[in-house]
Amino acid sequence: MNKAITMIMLAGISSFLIAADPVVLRSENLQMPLNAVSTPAFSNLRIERMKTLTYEAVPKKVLDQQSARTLLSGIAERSTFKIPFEKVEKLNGRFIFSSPEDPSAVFDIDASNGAFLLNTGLKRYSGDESSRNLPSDKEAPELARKHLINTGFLPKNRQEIVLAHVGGLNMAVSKEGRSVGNYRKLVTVRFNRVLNGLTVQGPGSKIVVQLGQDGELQGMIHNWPEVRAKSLPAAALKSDEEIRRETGLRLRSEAGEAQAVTIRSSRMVLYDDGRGVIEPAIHVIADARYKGPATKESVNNPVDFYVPLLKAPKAIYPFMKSAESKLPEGDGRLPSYQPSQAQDWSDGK
Amino acid sequence: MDQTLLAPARSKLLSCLLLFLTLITPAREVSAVDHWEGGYVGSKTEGDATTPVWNFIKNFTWNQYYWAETFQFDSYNNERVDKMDFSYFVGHGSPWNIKCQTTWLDLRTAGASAHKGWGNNNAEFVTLHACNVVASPLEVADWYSAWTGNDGVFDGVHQVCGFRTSASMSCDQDISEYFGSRIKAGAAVWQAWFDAISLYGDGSERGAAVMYPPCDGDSYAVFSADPPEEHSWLRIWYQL
Repeated sequence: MNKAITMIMLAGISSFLIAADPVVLRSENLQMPLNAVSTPAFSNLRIERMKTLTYEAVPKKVLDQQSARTLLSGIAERSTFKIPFEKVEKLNGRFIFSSPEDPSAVFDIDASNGAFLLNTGLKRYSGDESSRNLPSDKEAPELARKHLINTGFLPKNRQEIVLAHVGGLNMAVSKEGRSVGNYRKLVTVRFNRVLNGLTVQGPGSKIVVQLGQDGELQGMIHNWPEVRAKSLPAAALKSDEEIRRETGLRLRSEAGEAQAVTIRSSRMVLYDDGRGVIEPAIHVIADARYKGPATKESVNNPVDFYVPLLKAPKAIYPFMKSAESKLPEGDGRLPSYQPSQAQDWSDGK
Repeated sequence: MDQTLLAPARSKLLSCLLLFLTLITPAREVSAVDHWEGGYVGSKTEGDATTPVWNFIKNFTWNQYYWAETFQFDSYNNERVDKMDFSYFVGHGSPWNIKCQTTWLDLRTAGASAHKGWGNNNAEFVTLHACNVVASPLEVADWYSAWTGNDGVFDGVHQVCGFRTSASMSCDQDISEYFGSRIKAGAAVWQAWFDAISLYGDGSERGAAVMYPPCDGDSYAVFSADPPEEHSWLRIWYQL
């Protein structure tokens, strides 16, 4: 019975998904009778489609170890960190520079595209005290930009970089049943990319700057390929009906067992797969409520996924990687959980 | 002497030193840090929890890979999670609760059986890749008692990593794959977890990690002596 209700609700979701405002597609209230779901109006989505572009990263020369080291040295020269990063390893096309002196310090760079993560180490931040002279949330974005300029990593096209979040890293300690301290350690500034008015999401196209004591550069993530735009013919895009159907399938796959599902947002974005392809997709976030632990009636475990807009996407999306994974075994100690055919919404993955 | 005059000279010296190190140190294939690893998949039907677990353990010559069941974490943990050095769970979560298929496991009482909690047998590191499990002081003032209470799971385990917020499902495969590769390469554990979230997360999720404070700098390659089974000294790192 519950299952049937869930499925009706999911049918409601999929028919309501591309309704009302097609760019920011919402389902505010799934409890409404299905006949109350409005007729889809796609005009705005069609306008968006007319200017839809796809992007490819401009190929870069593959880095060797010495050029990767030179890049790291350049950052070190323009910053204050003193970690020698004397150990170098190769892993999955990346050079990983590290230091036995502090195993949290790393310079991890992708040789194929130069995307990197730098962490200058947290050992010196591990004391029971707050970092001195941390920038305020208001000061941090400007300071982060200064570090990007100093190190030469501020993107050339300033219109593309937008402030996404100012956060940080804290540490707290408890002893003998009581809290004995709560300390501010780092301030984190995250920048997103916007191309042609659309936010870029996915593994690529992001810059994160970690600020430490006295506002020093503690760490950086830089994954910002230069890109070339290509326009897309209308025939390359899926129809509204295809998007709706695929969204329904994905919802069933991700949240088919939920007691209730409410779409929080569904909007057109650009998906950067981190491998040089950026293309349009619908990013769906839904609140999926499940029967909770004994102390709670239900819990919300949100689901989110991408529906490619292209009929033949070139980007590698998360759901495409699922086919590569191996299924686990049932645990022989007790009769293992065996999902029935009726419950299996894994969509063949 | 004016310190500002010395700074460029020091930077050049450091650059020369780094260049020298590059020339004399050939890159080698990553040295495998491989002990005992277990993967536990919290759900078959509520999203794809399989791929993120697989993407972590495939970095190792793993030892256990099961659909998650509650007994692996409580009454039979000496043969499962507490037999491993590093365990990785993916599934649904709630503060101090993880969901094993259709059954919730309360971590506040998971150490109540004869098998006790984690670490009295072998476990060093456990990652609970699930929404909201590791509550921080931002969620609740008493973020610690649930872990170190009489029936809690901290009985010698070094670190438990997770999220204090929701965890984005569209990023979990990449986060776990990257995290596994760094752990294998000998990175500090909770620090690599946070790196993975910052690198591959969608910007909405926030990591948290609880630990016995002397184990703060542990890596999978080099870790400190086991904490005592009975202690109430805990540290939490959490992202904002």
